[in-house]
Amino acid sequence: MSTFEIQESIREINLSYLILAQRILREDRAIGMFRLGLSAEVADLLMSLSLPQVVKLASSDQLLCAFRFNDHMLLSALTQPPKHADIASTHAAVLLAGQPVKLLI
Amino acid sequence: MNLIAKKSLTEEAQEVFRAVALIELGARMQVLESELTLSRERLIRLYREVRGVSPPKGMLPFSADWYMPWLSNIHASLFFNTYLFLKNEASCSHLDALTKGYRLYLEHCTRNDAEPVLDLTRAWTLVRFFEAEMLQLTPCCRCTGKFVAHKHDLQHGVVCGACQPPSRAGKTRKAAARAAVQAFASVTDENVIDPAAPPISAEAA
Repeated sequence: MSTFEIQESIREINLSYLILAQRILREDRAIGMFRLGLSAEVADLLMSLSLPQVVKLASSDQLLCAFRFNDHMLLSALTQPPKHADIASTHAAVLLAGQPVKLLI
Repeated sequence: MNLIAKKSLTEEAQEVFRAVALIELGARMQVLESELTLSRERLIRLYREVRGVSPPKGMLPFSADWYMPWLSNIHASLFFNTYLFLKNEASCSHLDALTKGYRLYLEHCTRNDAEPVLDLTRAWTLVRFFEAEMLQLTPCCRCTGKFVAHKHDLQHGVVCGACQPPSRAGKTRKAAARAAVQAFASVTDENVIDPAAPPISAEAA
């Protein structure tokens, strides 16, 4: 993969992330914040961005959205014993819902 | 200074919408009466209109122990973490956090084919138990997730039910019935003659 392709992919992810975030936040601010794991300040800022601003912000060389699990949590959520695989997703949801929002920004 | 007399028409209409939302999610009369300012008669009429039946009578579940077995504990913890996020981070009112949090919980259950173990009334009593300081959130020492536990229970070295499910976990009567049905289906696929078949063919003849 060339550097140019990588940059293009990152730009695409950034743009889709920002547009999706704006859409779900405008639909319902509280539920959007929950789904994205954003603090009120960042949510309000994202909602207020105009389309040119979004495009400009998205065209950076680095990814704008972050990984929401830290290693420790991810490992324990994913290393469920196979016979209880059906609660693995609920377990991950509990961990995500209980994440302090300050870690994410 | 009567609050009910001062209530404007728009406020009342909003109350009606809130009541309808709660009834649709499965709220009992006691939940509606303590959360809303509408009169009991109007709430009963609304309940009949929305559900088509009279509201169920009887007492609400009152035991905090219900939230302790592993599956109900995981579901209750998911709902309560969601509720806390909506209330503290998104600054929702108690009622908004309850309805939105419960909708998000139901959504999670339908997406993952899980039975919604926690009904709205249980979710509401859970919040009440936390307000009355009968319950607390205890961090699991393995996954760092916060789980519902009794107040004054041990806080350190606790492993949650999701990290370490009890050995009997998931072996319910329903799961056994499902397994039996699957076993039966696999047997009939192999065309093994069932002992229950002859009487039916005799009847047909």
